Amino acid sequence: MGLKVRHIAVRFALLLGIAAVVPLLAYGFVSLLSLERGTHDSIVAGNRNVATRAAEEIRRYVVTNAALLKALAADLQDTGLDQRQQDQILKNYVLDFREFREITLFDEAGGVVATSRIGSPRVSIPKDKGIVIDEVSMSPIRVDDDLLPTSVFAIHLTRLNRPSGWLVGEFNLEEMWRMVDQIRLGEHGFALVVAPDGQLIAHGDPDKKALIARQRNMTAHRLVSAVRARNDGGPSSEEYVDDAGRTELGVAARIPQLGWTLIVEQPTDEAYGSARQLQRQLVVAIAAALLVMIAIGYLFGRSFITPILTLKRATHAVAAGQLDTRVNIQTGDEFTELGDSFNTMADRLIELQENVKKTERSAMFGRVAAGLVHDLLHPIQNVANNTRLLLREDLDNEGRQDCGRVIDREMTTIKRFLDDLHSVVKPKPLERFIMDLNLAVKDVVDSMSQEGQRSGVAIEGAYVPGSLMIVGDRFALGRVFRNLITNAIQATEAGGRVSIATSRNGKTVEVNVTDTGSGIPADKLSSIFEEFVTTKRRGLGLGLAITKRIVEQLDGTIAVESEVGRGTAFTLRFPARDTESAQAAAS
Amino acid sequence: MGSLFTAIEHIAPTKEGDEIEISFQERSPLLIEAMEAPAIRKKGAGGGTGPFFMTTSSATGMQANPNYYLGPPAIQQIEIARYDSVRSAWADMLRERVDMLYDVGLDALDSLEGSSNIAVYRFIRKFQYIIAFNSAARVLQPPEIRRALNASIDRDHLVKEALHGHGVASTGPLWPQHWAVGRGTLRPAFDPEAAAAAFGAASTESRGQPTIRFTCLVPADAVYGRIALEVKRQLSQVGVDMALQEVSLEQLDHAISGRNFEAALVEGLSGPTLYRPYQLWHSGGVFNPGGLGNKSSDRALDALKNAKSDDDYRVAALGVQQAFLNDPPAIFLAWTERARAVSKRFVVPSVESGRDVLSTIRLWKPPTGDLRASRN
Repeated sequence: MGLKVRHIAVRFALLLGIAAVVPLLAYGFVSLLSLERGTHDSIVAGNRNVATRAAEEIRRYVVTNAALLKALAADLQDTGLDQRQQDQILKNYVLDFREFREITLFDEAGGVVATSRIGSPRVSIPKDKGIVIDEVSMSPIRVDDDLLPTSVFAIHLTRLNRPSGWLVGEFNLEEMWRMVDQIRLGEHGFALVVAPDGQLIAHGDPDKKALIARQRNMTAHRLVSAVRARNDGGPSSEEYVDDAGRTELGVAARIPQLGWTLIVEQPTDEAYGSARQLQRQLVVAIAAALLVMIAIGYLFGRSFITPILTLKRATHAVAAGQLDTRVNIQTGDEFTELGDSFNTMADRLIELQENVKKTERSAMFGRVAAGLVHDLLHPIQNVANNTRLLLREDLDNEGRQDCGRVIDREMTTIKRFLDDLHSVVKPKPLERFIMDLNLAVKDVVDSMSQEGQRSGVAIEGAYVPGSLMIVGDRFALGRVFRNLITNAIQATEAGGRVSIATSRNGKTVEVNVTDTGSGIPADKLSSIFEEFVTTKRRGLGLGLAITKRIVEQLDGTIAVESEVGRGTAFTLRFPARDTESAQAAAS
Repeated sequence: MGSLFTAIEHIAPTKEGDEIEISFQERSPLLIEAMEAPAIRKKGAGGGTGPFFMTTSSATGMQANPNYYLGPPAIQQIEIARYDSVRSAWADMLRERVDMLYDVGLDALDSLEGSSNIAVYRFIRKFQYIIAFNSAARVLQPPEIRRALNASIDRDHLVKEALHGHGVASTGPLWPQHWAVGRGTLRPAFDPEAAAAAFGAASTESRGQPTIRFTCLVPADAVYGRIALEVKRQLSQVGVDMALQEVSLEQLDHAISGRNFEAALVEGLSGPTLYRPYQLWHSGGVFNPGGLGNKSSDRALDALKNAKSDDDYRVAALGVQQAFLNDPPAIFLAWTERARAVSKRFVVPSVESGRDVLSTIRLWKPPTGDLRASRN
């Protein structure tokens, strides 16, 4: 029963799953995939954008400082300043522009004209022009006395289209570090700058500035080679594991004018952190929606199944005979209507039951009345007829004696009938004695032979030799056998036969009453021992009920086998009491 | 204790034997403050009473004092490396060749502070940048010229531009947080117009030419250079031509002690006691190389030395400030913010804000199992 409920629940859960959960999960899965892919692409694109812009800022920074030196050169040239003034300008310049650690003005022969330094100049006219930025040459990155990278800007001055000297400035890469320090991606994303020869010249990570001092060559960095291999000059991005074993999302952008490469590194944990957080939030949201849906489904399913369970319980109660069971379903939907219908049905069942009882009582009364009429009419008519004969004066003595015998016999019949009725209403206690069943059966068979002859039915008795001792009530057993033989005679057409046989089977004594009559239909065979059940057209149907009750009171059993058209066989079994019989005989 | 050492009458243990008694011939608050200064050790003698003392076998080594009264330090030996410039030392710190920088340059501060491998401890040094005058130099002899020079300098601007904000404008020769100085600090006012007028009045030069010219010796260091250039620029705006001459530290010491200079940009130890400026500026001071100070400052500092009470001491401190304002022997520029950098391979106890982290060096220790911290 519970399994059925579960089946309903499972079906409902499946319905809910198919209708809502599965689509939601599918939606969530697709959303997560697209979110991951989309955010990954957008983060990489964002970092590429940052790297590109940062590269441009660094380029502009360097170019601007080159322009500053060029502007200074313009200030110094053709303005008629004396050496002291030029010297003062240079000193003020390095104070105002920290990017230049030193600026020195040389004449064409290499002699020092003016310098920002208090002492002797440290810079000299570069022999290698390096790259040229708007007439300002920028030397390749070199290592200074402190083994830190540095670069030198130089402008070849001209006067009247003739070389007139050099303005040389030492470009402070450490000042550029401040700018690189400001290029940040999240908390742990830093930028680094690589010179054309692979030398690391700036690193935004404070912990990795030591790499600059150690003159780390970054040529082997996969992004350096990747971005340099690109023909379109665009940025390159890759994920790789750094020296610390951390997976980094790196983006490299070239600064073509300087030949530098700018790399922006960010740990993937951080780069994709927000996306992963979004994913987690989405998973939580989907899970929450799923739980809410399941909860709603559970509540809805419960409200759906509860009326069904209520109706089921009520139905079982009604089936068990509790017709006063009613349901109270207030869901306001079809279940309420179904509950009301159930209650109406139960009310109607009570009415029908009452009607059936009335009908049954009427039928029973009819059957009892008919049985009384049937069973009593003939004896009473015989009594009445013979009584009228007795009143006639012309009846001789022999006739009078015959009438008296008939009246006596019919009165006996009436009495027996009334005794049966009485037995049904108030069973008579049995008087148990050791008795010989053979004799009891033989007496009844003999007494009913004439009745059989009148009906054209042969009554045959077959008795096991010797005595069959049982504990019984001779009178009650006589009624049992008379009932069975009477029924057999009534069920047997003239010419038929009724056989009564006794036998012993171990410790059991058996009596078989067999007829060749019409037989009992199989569907009625199980109820023939019930009161007021009969297969005959007339009669109260009490005989077999009384018979069964008496047999069972004597610790016996009665069984019936019948086949319509061939006859019926009753088998009665009683415990044999030979030992008591012997003791009784001895005493 | 320098010249004050002569004031000691006797030193004797107490009867209990666990203390010593020092008797002075005269009463002076400076004697108590002189205890702050480390004892001058005879060269090559070794020994000491601090947590570390110089080893006799090496001029650059220090070893732990196992008998230090607060317990032996966790570090057994310290090797000191000398660098020509702060930048060079910083570069070696980056290379992890040294475990501590005694002095982090201003240029390096920003680069080191963000590092997770190096801890940087800032503090205001008791040193200040000063341009000391040689009172014997003719052009700087008039007090009004020296007062005008002091009034020419915008110290806040100097700190911002030359020190990148890592410093505090100077108020005079005395440590402003000294209890005897308090809030009554006298400081030279920045008044370039008055200064220019003073210079103009003293000038004998023709128009368009600087009225005052003198040469300032500048140690060969980037920070000194920037300060010198900034001062030069500010002075030039009031008509003073301060020529700069780069010198080594040895040359500088030699020039000052020989009074062979007009002005010199130096760092002078001026705190945390008044004993320090006394010894620096008094003509008889043990830290005075010989050419610093003048008669006015000597008189004011003597009053400080001879103060009989705390109140006298406060009055004398005020007198010193006033004397230095009236007859300034130098341009007091800025107290310097400095930093020590210590590798995080050491566990360093936290110190109070502004206090020198070196004060806890005896408690420094490398993490367990890493007994040799440096990689050099």
